[in-house]
Amino acid sequence: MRSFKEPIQELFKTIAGVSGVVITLCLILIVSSSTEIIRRSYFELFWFTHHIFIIYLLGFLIHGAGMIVRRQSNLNEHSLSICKDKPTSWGTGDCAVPQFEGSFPDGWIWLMAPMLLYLIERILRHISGMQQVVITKVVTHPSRVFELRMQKKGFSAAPGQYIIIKCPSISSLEWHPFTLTSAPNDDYFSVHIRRVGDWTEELAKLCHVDEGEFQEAWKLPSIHVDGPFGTAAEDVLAYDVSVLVGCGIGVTPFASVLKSFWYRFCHDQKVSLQHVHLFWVCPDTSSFEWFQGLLRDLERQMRQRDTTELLSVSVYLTRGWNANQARNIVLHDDSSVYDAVTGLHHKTQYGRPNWEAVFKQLAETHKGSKTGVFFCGPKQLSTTLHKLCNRYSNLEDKTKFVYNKEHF
Amino acid sequence: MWQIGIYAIIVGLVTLLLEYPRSKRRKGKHDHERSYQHFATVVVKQGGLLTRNYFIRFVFYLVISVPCCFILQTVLGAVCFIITSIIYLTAGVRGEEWQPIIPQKAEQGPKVIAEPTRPPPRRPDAASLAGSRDNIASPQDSRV
Repeated sequence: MRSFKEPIQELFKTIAGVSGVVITLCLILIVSSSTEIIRRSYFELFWFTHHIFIIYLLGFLIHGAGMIVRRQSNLNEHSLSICKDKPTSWGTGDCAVPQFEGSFPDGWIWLMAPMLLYLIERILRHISGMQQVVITKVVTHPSRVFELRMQKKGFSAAPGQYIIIKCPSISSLEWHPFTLTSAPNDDYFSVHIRRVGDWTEELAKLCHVDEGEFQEAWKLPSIHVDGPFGTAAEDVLAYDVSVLVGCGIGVTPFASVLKSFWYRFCHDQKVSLQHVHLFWVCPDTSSFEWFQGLLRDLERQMRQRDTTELLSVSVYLTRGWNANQARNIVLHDDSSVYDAVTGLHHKTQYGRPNWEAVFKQLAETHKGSKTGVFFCGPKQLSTTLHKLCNRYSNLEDKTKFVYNKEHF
Repeated sequence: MWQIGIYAIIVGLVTLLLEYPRSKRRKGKHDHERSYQHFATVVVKQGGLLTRNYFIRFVFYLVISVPCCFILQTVLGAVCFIITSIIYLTAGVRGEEWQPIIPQKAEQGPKVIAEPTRPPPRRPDAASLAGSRDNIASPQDSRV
């Protein structure tokens, strides 16, 4: 700016100025709509504002086009190392007066590769989402849970992964994540959906969940599925001993893991996993009757095969019990092998587990083996478990607890 | 025009005071307060209709932003204020208002835990061994 002009007026005469203001504004909007409060309570606002990144990237690409940043064009006549120390002699002798020209923009080069990769990913996601998905069965479970069994060409998932589902009849833009509850060897893939919000209620209505009679296939809504996306539960089968800890809804991925483990064990495939300890901590088992059913089935099958040491289930009900349950428990306590509350052979316990004691017991029982601990639930418990894993890992007798956390 | 810079700093502090306390939500159980927002809530509550109404805030931010548009250093801030005023206009049209979040005093629980009136559940055969004829054990037994 050689002559006095208003910077703000000059700003709007240059590409760099206008694009700079535009992309800074885009950034301000993106950042301020990405705070945790907005993400948790007003997700659509966050999601759609975030797409302003497209304007941001375009502005960034053209930002240097005015070539305002200049570089020296006659470096061959003006060697920097010799001439920098004698500025008074420029123009005479070795050093010519430096000439400058606009420098070609190179910011776009940095962006090209990542943008291309992202574009490819979005296109693939879109194509994958357009593949036809057929709902083969809708199963109603107690406590407002329903299960959707689906099939899609070319779909394959590992245990513990999740998918995202879109139902264009409800909303053409919303994708909702659900953990897969089926094992890879089933010929369908299933998710258990709890009717807790607008979208899930709508979906339940469209799938005729309340009607209780057989529906024709064409009456079911069209569904788009994207995924599966991977999580830590895939490694469960790689350890000698696995400890699965699920809090409340965090127990869902373990349904798929247990089914898959049992299938592989029954079909004599090479499984290095010898023992699974499942710890299920929840306030009460309502809305998880389906999971209880699964555990009962597994227990029964293991009893038939006489392999009961494979799986040990500890259910901890943290909400305690009420008077009716207390009466029921007392009446059935020693006279039955089945637990009164869950119907499993393993007894239900009340209150929160004493993790110190649990880990001590595990360290003793499985001395010398590599144990994988898998957790899905709130953060405080995660820290506790991680610390306990480190504490009970022992170098001398090679007992090792490896902690894996999964967070929704 | 450095005076506009001083003005912008002062206006920024005023905005901070006005905006820091989050309003109570119209729908929804949980209020999300910012940490230490109580002092600012008390101050902003004193403004009555002036601070409660969002149309007034819309006009306020529009007017505030005018001097900031003139110099390059504050022009982005001015645009942010204009966006804020548009957001408040939209909120005002939808009928939203600023309501202070007043922390609820924790309910006083009972200081003394009352003696249990009913005995704990006992096994039917244990009760018959003790010799009582009905299922409900008498209160004296609970002290065993």
